[in-house]
Amino acid sequence: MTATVAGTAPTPVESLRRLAGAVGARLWWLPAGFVGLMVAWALAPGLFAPHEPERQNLRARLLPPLSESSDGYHWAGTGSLGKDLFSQMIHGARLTLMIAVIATGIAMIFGVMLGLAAGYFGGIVDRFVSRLSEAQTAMPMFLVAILLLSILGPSVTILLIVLPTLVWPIFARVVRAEALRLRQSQFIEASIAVGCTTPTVLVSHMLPNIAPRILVLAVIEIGHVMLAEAGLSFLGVGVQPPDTTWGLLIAQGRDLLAVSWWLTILPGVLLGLTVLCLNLLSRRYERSAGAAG
Amino acid sequence: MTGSDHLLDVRNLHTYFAGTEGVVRAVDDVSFHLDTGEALGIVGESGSGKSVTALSLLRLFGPFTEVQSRGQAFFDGRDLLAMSERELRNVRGGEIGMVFQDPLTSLNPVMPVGDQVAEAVRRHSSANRASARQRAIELLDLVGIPAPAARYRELPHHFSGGMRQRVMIAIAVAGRPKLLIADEPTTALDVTVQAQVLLLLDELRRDLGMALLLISHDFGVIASTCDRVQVMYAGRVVEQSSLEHLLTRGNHPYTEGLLKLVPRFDDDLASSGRLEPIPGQPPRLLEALDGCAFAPRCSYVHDRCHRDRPRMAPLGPDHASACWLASERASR
Repeated sequence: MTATVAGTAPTPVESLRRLAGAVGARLWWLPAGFVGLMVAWALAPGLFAPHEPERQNLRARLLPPLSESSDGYHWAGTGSLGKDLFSQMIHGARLTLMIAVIATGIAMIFGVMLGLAAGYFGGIVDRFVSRLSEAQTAMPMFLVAILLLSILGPSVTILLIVLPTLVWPIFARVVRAEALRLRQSQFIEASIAVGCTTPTVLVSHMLPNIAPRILVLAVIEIGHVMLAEAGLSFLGVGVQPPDTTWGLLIAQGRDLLAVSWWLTILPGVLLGLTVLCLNLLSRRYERSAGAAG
Repeated sequence: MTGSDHLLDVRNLHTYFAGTEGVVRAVDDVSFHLDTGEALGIVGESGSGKSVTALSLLRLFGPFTEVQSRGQAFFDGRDLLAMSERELRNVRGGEIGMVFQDPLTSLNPVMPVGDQVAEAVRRHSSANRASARQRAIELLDLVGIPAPAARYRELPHHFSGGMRQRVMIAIAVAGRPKLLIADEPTTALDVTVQAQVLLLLDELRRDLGMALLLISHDFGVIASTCDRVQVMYAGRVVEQSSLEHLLTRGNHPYTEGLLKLVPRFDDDLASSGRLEPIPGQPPRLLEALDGCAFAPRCSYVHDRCHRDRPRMAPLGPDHASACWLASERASR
């Protein structure tokens, strides 16, 4: 048996990595366009959806993708009540993205404030923030989230309180590390030597230097939050009908997975693609920001 | 008596750091004064406490440094060391401006240089946005930035090292300070630029009537800018004198050693072949030194040097040296 000569044929992992690199470098408009389309869906679903998402048609139940009914063409098939899946996915984009963006935003605000304070002031503030974020990391927060949502009752508002608790420590840790580094840098000392007050130093000198990293992280975290929300909705403690998110669509298709695969798979693919594109975009941005700064 | 006739009057300044191996006596009983419009140079090797002396005055230590300063530092009659953080903040960049060593890292990399100057202007005056901008352009012009209005919006990385140091100087004088502290302002610059920056500092001192406290390890830098010099070693002042006097009649053995290390064109290096370094290393500042800190490296050392610490002994109207042999050596 001959051993494979290294470098002749790329392994599947390698070629995937290369593909990701190419998407990051030259094909960045692909994920950007996809995310742009999702945002457009979220902003004006009526423009894109071929059908009313809540319109039932019992004679067109569980049609597979690319089939036709009396209502018209169903790109992604229909559900158990004959609702058009494609239209439901388009309408679901709004709440999916909104929850993810707002929850990430809240986590970012808290994480950045705590991380900045920890890195800048050090000492007891740093110990407090670090222990808090470690405590969060040590706890199975997803279970806590399920518990909280089942006690308080599932609602979008509660989701927006619970989801940020899952991701704020990541912001706090990254910002703390950056703030620690910057705190030692001479231009921060120089800004203090000019008589700048602490808020000025933090907001106009530290924050702009950390902002690119926060942005990269936020884009990735939007994806994570989206997955977490899908998980919670899948388990029935997240978004409730008649509101729709992609996670809820996946959950609703679960029982019919054996007969109507598309009800689960297609929203799942959509969710996965969106998260992937967000990751690719943030990588691309990180690279260009890194080259500039 | 608390006040002082001098612009800056530092008395018995001690600055100790809490290090991992114990207390580091970075500044150990330093006294000096500075009058309005005067230029004082502090010279010494790395670790001699010259920078820490300056940082102690404005309390510019990060929050991660455990540091303690004792003594008094009267500036315009008020003790800087006794001031609250809030009071001191108004002095920093206002009455006392500071220029740091490395212009490449002293400016905020993501903020236009003009805005950084304007920020310093606004911090210490009631100027509104537009007039602060105008004043910032004037300041950039004053420090010799060509086309200051056009370069106002540019980021620091568009500027060369020398130009960035000019911007730093513009920021430092934005609050119309009475005292400008320059901590190794030219160390990171190449020699021709160094000369330009020193000339600028000198001009600004005369034009704006500031006092200048220049810290350097380089006698050449001090000699071209200062009226008086103070030599520091191991956290202590070992000699203090007018510049000319020090260069011709330097008293302390350490000063003598340092001056031997300045290459001169008129010296015949070929005869000795090379510069003569001072043998040995500066002492670790961890334990209290009873005797003279320079004793282990001194070629004139005798018993008493290891036993008792020599105090600054006046040798003339403006000359003092901390050496047991001071008067003996002065009458050579």
